Amino acid sequence: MEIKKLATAGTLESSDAFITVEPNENGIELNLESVVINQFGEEIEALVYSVLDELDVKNVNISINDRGAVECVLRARIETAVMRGKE
Amino acid sequence: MNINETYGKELPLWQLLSCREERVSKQQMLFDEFHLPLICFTLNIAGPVKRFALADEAFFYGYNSISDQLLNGGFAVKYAEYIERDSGFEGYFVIAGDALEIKKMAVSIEESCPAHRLFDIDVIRPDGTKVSRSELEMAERKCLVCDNPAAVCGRSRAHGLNTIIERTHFMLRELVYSRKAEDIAKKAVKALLDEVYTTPKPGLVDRNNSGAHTDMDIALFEKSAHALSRYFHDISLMGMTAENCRGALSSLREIGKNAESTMLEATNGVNTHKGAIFSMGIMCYAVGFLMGQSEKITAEKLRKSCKEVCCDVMADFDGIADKSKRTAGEEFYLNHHIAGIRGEAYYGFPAVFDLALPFFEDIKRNGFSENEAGCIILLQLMAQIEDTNVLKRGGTDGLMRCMTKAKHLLSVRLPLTELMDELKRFDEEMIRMNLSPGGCADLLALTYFADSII
Repeated sequence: MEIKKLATAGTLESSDAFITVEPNENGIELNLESVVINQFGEEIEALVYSVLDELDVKNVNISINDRGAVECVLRARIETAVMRGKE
Repeated sequence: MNINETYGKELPLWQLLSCREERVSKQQMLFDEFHLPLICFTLNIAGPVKRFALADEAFFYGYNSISDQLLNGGFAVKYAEYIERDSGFEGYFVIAGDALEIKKMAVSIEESCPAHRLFDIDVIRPDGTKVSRSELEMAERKCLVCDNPAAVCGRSRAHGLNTIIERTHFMLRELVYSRKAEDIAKKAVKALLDEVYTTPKPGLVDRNNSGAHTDMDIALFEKSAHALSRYFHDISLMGMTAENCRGALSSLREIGKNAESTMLEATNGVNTHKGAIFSMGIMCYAVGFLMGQSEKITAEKLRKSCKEVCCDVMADFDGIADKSKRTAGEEFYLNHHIAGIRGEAYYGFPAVFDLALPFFEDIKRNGFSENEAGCIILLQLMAQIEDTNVLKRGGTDGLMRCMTKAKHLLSVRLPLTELMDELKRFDEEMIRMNLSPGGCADLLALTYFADSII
């Protein structure tokens, strides 16, 4: 799946995350901020790569501002951002 | 606990997530229009069910607290509204003021009692950034269950969803119930005050005089009524958390005894409200009980609950014939078959629900002021009720004279101003005879109270 334009999903409310995707030509670039980065940084990072892989996104600039979202919320927000960016 | 209070429809995740995005667009619209900081208030309800009666009620307590605090703090509120979504109510306040100052106010509400942990009062600047607690050098919010930061426990689901939901519902109940109990207590105190302010009342303390009493006046009654507020609150709360109310009276005796001490302390040993502690206490408990069952309170239901609470009260008279020393109430029961306030309670206060309350509604509709209506109700009660307070001081003779006079005044159908003048003369007569219908006064207070609840 190709990201064709800048798109966002989510909010900065607690237990949510705000995701921005932008077109990129050199693979996946992840910029992660999280209120629980010390506890869950690696887990979140792994999740992002796995969701992008499932969606077959090879090139993207993705920024995540995580406010403590649980996995299913993060997953849903990333998927929505990607769907909005491919159109 | 009524199941309906925490039962509601599950909100699918996708819908919850889109509600949040809509909330942010709503905020953006307000920023575009006002270019000012805003408060966005929501409840923190764990689990997939976001909407149920208790949660909605808690929202409005929170919304009103914020309104009040903004007003008290002199904040310039430019816009305020609440909207309803599937994810719960949301409150918005746009304020011409410093975002940090607003956040300070918000945090003070969030921290003012443990159950306010469920309030999420976000303060957002016009650029969309939220004022964080750390900007006020305050600790981030703690988990509902333990002392760790909320974000960490929330992310790891450290306590399991069920524990969090249970804890949330417990806090909601605490929040809503204690507010409701406060409300009931306020009305009970007001009813006691309205009773003493009702003027003229034959033989009783009122705005004109101290009636047939030498040891009390209106100021003492005010002091005593306010001192009982805590008791009315606590007994209402007991009613709300009770599974059923049948025969509950015996479990209320101790809190009633404590209330008597509180009263005597406030009045320096004068018995101002002993009867009210008994009867108003029972009615507060019954009101609390019905609220705990989420029932709409009608006169009929309230009467029935009072009756159930007091179903064992006549046992007080068991074996009094064999006693060597009897109280005045026991003597009256034994010798005159007058059960006094116990009898009233046993039958669910018929003097209030059959006599005073219907009549009260009726005369208020006919354009009488609350005070005039109260005076006439009291006269009705004095005509019908064998008041043990009058009996105690005046014997059967005094009681008969008092009841006959009241009946006479009601039967001659005087114009209102003349009736009020007659009441003043009746007052003087009662003072001369040293008679005071304190039992009827308690029933009048109960009538005011029931009227304010129903």
